[in-house]
Amino acid sequence: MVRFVMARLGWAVVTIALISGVTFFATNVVPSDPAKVALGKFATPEQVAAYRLQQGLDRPVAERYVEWVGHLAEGNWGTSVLSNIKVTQLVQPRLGRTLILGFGAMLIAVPLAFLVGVYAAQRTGKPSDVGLSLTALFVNSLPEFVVALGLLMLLGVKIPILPIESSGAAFGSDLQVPLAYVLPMLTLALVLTPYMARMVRANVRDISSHPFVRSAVLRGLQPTRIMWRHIVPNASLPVVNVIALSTAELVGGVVITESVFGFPGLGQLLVNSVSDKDIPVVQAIVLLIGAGYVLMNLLADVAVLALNPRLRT
Amino acid sequence: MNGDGNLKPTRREVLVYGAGALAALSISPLIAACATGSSTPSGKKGGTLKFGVNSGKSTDTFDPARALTSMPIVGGGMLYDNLLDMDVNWKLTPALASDYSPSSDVKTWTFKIRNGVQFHNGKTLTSDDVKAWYLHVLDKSNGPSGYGILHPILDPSGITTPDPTTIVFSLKEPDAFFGVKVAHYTLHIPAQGITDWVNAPVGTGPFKLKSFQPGTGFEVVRNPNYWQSGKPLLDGITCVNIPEQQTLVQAVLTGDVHVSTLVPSSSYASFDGSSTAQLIDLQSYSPFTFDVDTSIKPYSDPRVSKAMKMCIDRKKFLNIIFKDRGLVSADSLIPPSDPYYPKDLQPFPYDPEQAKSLLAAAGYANGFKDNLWTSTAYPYLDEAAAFGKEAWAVAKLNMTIQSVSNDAYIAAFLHAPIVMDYYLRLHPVTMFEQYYASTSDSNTTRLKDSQIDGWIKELKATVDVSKQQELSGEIIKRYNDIAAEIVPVHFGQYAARKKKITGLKINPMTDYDFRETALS
Repeated sequence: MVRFVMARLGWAVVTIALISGVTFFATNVVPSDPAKVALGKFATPEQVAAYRLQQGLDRPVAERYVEWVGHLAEGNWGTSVLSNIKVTQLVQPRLGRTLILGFGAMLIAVPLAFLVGVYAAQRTGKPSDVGLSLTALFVNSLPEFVVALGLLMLLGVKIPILPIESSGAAFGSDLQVPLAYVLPMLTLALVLTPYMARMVRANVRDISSHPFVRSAVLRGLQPTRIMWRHIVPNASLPVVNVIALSTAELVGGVVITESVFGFPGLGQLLVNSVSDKDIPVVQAIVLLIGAGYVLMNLLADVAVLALNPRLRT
Repeated sequence: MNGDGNLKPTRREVLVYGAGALAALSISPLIAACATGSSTPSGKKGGTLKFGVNSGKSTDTFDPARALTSMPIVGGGMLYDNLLDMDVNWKLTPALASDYSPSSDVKTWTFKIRNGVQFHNGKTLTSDDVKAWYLHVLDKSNGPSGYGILHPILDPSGITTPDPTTIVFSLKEPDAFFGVKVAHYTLHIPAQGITDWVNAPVGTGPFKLKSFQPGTGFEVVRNPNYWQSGKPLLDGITCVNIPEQQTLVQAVLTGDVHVSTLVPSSSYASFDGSSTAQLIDLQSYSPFTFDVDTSIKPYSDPRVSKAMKMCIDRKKFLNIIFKDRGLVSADSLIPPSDPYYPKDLQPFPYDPEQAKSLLAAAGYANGFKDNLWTSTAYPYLDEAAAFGKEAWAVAKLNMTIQSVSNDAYIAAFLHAPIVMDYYLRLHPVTMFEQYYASTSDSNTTRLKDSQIDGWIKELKATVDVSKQQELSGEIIKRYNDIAAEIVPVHFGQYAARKKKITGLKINPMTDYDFRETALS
């Protein structure tokens, strides 16, 4: 198992290195000029040229990449070419908030998906199963911003119990801080739950037909015990990978959700930086997202290995 | 649109001159110090106001010379002061300058620095601080906005400080409107030697910075040593960025946010029916334009440009794009409501048949093709571009809409033949210098006309108000006749606020003046 984990870790490092290279070159070959964005449309060519020189934008891409990797290895993420602020200063506070948001959403979505999936699987073909399946399909088909605006109108405007904008996460005090997370977290959880719930339902149904389940029934075990001690753990294995893959969906969801609620996180910074062609900031965020995705998949592999003894032999 | 590709702060950004200077000069060249700050605000003290914007960028900075978007510009009004303040009627009042006076030829301007004004770090303001900042702005490498305002009329050597409370500006040419230039937000006066504009900007303003996260928001707290006694009333202000406009609107309607920047016209009706929130008229009719290149064919042919103007049904344009909140206009960057707008000037009539005849006479009976540049990065541009495309199609002018990203849109300015654009209301002389003058780098219609240039120079040199109005009228009429620029309407601008806020004043530079604002 240790060898397997080490091998996966090695591949993870290679993948992250590839992500960094692709990100750097992709963001540097797009036909745009951050100097123009920084100085505005009426900046003179001399001012633009001076700015490019000052920010090192006139040097070859490969040279800048090598320098960037070198600095990265020293823990220096570079400086925003537009604001001259260190990338770490821009990213760090937002990263923390976005991680809380993402993990919080997962903490809601995963148990909810299991509850809904198991409940539906136990009632296969009945109206409650059909109703839940249709609801899951419907919610799954809604874009994130529709879910976000729907929750905003419901819990922020019609039943005004939650703040409809999330600036409290950065500038709030006391209860304002946790409350600022609620609506974006619920949005992400709602977006993530349906697909996972459907996977749980399908796997629980599949495992329920296995001989060991019939044998457990015949031995007179309680249905609840059979479900939660025998069926669900076995049905969870494929779902673990689905949860890891949901990280990608989570990233997309975070970008949109943060914009809708004005949540001061990494997604909003990414949108701004892409729009302004602030390449060092984009590189840092994309690299962090890529690393997060790789890490989640690595953890999923390890979790599956831990849950399934047959894979360890 | 402003000089930086940002639509919202345009009025603030390029407002350079003001009629206040005219009014003041017409009374006397020696202007007595007004009682700025002597009035005692009556609102309840205390509380923190939440101010919502939707254009926050990670590029936001409290360097006044580089501030481009709403957040740092509005914030600049909280942290800093100018030598002079200016109100929405362009009236100037002394601020950090307790007194100011131009020479009889309006070529030399002397400002007396107010005694006892302290920066947030406790240092006393002197004329050297003012000189240092003006020299900073006059350095081209420190950003185009302030440089573009000052360098045409002022050299670094033209600034002298005979004593710590006096600064003298010897201009390169007469400028009756210099008083208004010093009220521009790029000429907010920070303390000398600031290098960290995010964490440690220091000014003399009514509030001090507590924290700032570019693109996210900032917090300011009351400056207890503010030179205007009794102000500000608020304990502090928290400015937050809410990119989604509908969320910002709902945040004001539900009371999460006390005051916002501009709200979209689609949400006006929501405020009409609200008992807790209302729209704020920013008292600014601003030109919405098709920037057409007058210097190239076919647009350099007056018959073609006139035909294009006559294809636009301006009333319909105003109704569809701005829900009738604005004014139909001749092709002038000065609104019809402005006292300098000539009363007898009418827009070219909507007449597609005559437009076709004009095009045929110019050799374009079968029309022509071109690209129309616009961007989703700013509101209304795409809708207006679609309107123009349909209108011109009647005369066989086939426009392909290029709706592009912000940077591509900015790159199109002064290069592409037709670009959708809008400006914010400026004093006429501002508009003339920035957008009508042949020598201006911001002349988006690329008109070069010696007669207009001569009139602008004459206008700046005279202190006779009636002469100024006459010259302004001539400039506006000639521009309407010979520039290919199309200005179908001037649109009204509205922000939003909770009704319970008191003492909120409109400021032409920073949108708001929060010094007398109270949460009651």
